[in-house]
Amino acid sequence: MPEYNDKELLEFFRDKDKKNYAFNLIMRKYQEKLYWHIRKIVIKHEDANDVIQNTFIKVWGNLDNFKEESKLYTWLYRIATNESLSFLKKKKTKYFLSLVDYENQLKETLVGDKYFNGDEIQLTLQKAILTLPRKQRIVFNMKYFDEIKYDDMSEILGTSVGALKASYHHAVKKIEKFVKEN
Amino acid sequence: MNKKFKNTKNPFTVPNNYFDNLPNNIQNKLSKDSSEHSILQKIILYAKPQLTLGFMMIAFASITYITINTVWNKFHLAKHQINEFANIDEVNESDFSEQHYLNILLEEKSVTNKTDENTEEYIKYLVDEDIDYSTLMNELYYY
Repeated sequence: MPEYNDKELLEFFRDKDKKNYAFNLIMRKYQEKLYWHIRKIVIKHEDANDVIQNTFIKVWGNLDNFKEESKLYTWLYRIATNESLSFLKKKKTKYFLSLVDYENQLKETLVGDKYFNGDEIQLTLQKAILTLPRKQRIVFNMKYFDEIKYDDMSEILGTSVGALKASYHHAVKKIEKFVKEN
Repeated sequence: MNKKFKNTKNPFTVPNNYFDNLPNNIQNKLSKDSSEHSILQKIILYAKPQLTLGFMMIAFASITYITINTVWNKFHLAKHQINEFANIDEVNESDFSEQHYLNILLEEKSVTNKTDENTEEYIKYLVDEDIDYSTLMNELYYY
């Protein structure tokens, strides 16, 4: 598969004859990164599969309006993050649960999940991450696992770099405390 | 951050060939959505004039019904009110009817007649007993 940069991909997408091809290339380039980002928020594979599909459907519908004021990958991450958060909100409403209760449930499902093959340490870390507030959890995952720069994270989440740094710091402290207690 | 977590790999997995099939699955979903969308669009486009006409007829029927209903209710209310006033008038008329006055007069007359009968009895008694005025006054005075 040929490697194109984002600018080229966007140019292809604007060309009516290459639109589908360009979209396919964009999906293939970013699907894994976005999937793992979504998966760490919604935890279950089935849910992540739904959210990634909805994310790319949104991208297809809105890519024509993308003004290139931000990077393509931060724009894609922003859509994926918003889709994941609305998914969690819908789940919460559907089951009449608070978000904390729903995330407690997710902790339990991790143990029996056939698509989770982490060891005891990884399970403890994931449980610790699930105790964090939603936004702090996203910041922690993006920094710790995906190693996304604070500037890009700021573009994706619409939060200042200072606030993101503080959020990550608090998340680390909470996780350390959780691990010590468990 | 705790040292034992350093370099922790992603513990999540996906089904085999998931990422190979994902773009096709999304493309299929998109084309299915767009075909469903276009069928719906075609139906709407075809049925638009009929639907518009239908809505207009429904709107017209609703407005007519509401208008007639309102006017009928007002008319009915007005008629009802006239009947009510007429009833009131009838009641008032009967309250002050000629018969009513006659009854009252007859009752009064019967009372007056009774008084007249008593007076006549007293006069007859005085004449029979030959009691003149001065005797009567003396008697009343002493009594």
